[in-house]
Amino acid sequence: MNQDKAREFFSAYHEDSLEPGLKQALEQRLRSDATLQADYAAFVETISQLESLKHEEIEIPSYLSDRIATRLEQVQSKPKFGLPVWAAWFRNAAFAGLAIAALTFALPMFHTDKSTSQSSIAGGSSSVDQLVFKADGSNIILNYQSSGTKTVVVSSPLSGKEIQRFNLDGQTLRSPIENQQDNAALFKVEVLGDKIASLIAVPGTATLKAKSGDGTIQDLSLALAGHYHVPVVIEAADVTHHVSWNFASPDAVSAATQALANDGFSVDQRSGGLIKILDR
Amino acid sequence: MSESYLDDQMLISRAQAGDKSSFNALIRKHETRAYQYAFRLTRNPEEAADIVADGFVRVFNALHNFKGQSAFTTWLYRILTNCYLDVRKKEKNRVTTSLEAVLQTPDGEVERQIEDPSASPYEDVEKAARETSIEGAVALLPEYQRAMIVMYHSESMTYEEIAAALDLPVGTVKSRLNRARISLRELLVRDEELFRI
Repeated sequence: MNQDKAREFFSAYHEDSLEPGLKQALEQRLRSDATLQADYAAFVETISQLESLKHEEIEIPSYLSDRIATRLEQVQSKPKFGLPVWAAWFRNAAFAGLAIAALTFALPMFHTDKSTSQSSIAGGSSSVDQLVFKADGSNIILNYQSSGTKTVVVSSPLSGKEIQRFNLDGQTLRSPIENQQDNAALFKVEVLGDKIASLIAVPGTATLKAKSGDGTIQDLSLALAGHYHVPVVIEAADVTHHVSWNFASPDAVSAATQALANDGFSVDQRSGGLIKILDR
Repeated sequence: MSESYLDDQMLISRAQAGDKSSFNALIRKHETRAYQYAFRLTRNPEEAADIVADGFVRVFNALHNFKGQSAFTTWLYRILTNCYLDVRKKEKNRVTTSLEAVLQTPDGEVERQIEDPSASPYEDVEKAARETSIEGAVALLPEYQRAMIVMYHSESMTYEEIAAALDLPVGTVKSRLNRARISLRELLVRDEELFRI
């Protein structure tokens, strides 16, 4: 075994994956060749230095998401892809993190007296173990009366990141959800262990001017929240169902009903103007 | 909806069916890792961000062809590596003027003086020496070797994952990685010699 050949086996020898015959031959050569021995020692030192690469801290630039969104928008504007009008899709995603980061969750108020909290729940509902939402201007109040040990989790359906978790043990949760960003933002609220989660679109501070568009039920809810400045709750199994909309109506409930007329969903308006989209 | 909402395959299936929020979630989930990989290859934040953006455009354009035969991350690494190699190729092609070319001037023909704007190999080595870091030495490796070193030693990918990402046999990956490590060792030895001068 010459020096060059021996060097070819350095990695395998270091990882102890060299077959016994070759290992023996390499060890024999190393014992008799001081230069090769020094080479191997330097090689091992290099491998050890390479280990430090894993720990390098790399700062993620703040403009990364925006750059991705911009590049995707450019692709969208080329006719060859012929996809629906998703121009705002990527842009919204770029700012989703900001929207979520700026969300203010008031400290949850736990009503430890199980018998007194019902009247404060939306619509006077006496629902136990059910997520109840009530509009408060353009914000939403989340209410949940637990019958026992339950965990309510609020997260971003876009990133999957958990925003807040409430561990309850027979208590009632009442927490406002506010969005201080320009654009409407979407949140997922779920009780761990339940099959269906609620998606809520909370209006931002700006009004969405676009009246028409197409996309999923989630996109429709964001558009409704942005355009009419009303919170929208979706409680449907298939939130990816594709719909088109044109907000010709002066009110959100008519606009949503029109958009979903033939799609197996029902729309109703709850107290405070909250719009609810449900499976029919 | 459940915790498996975050599963790559589910996000991809939904995105393939036209669900944009799932595609967005896929980007959100992988953009940090993609950037870290791109930065380790380029050592340049702007260039790395461009590579990641181009990479996700390619993902978007080819998503309908993704059959899930490999992990999404493996596919993403392949796309990012190709984006990086393409950028390097374009840079190399940019200076293509012949050294023999002549330039027409009012005073007649003069031989074109070519100035190479890139750092000389000596300057590169000196820069790495200044940085006194393994990262600097890795940056001096040829592109393909650099990608392999970063994948294995920074991204903790296995030989099999690298082979899948680069579409190479595992044996080839192992032998090329060995050569890359030896090249790196030689670069680092040169570093040490510089410090001794």
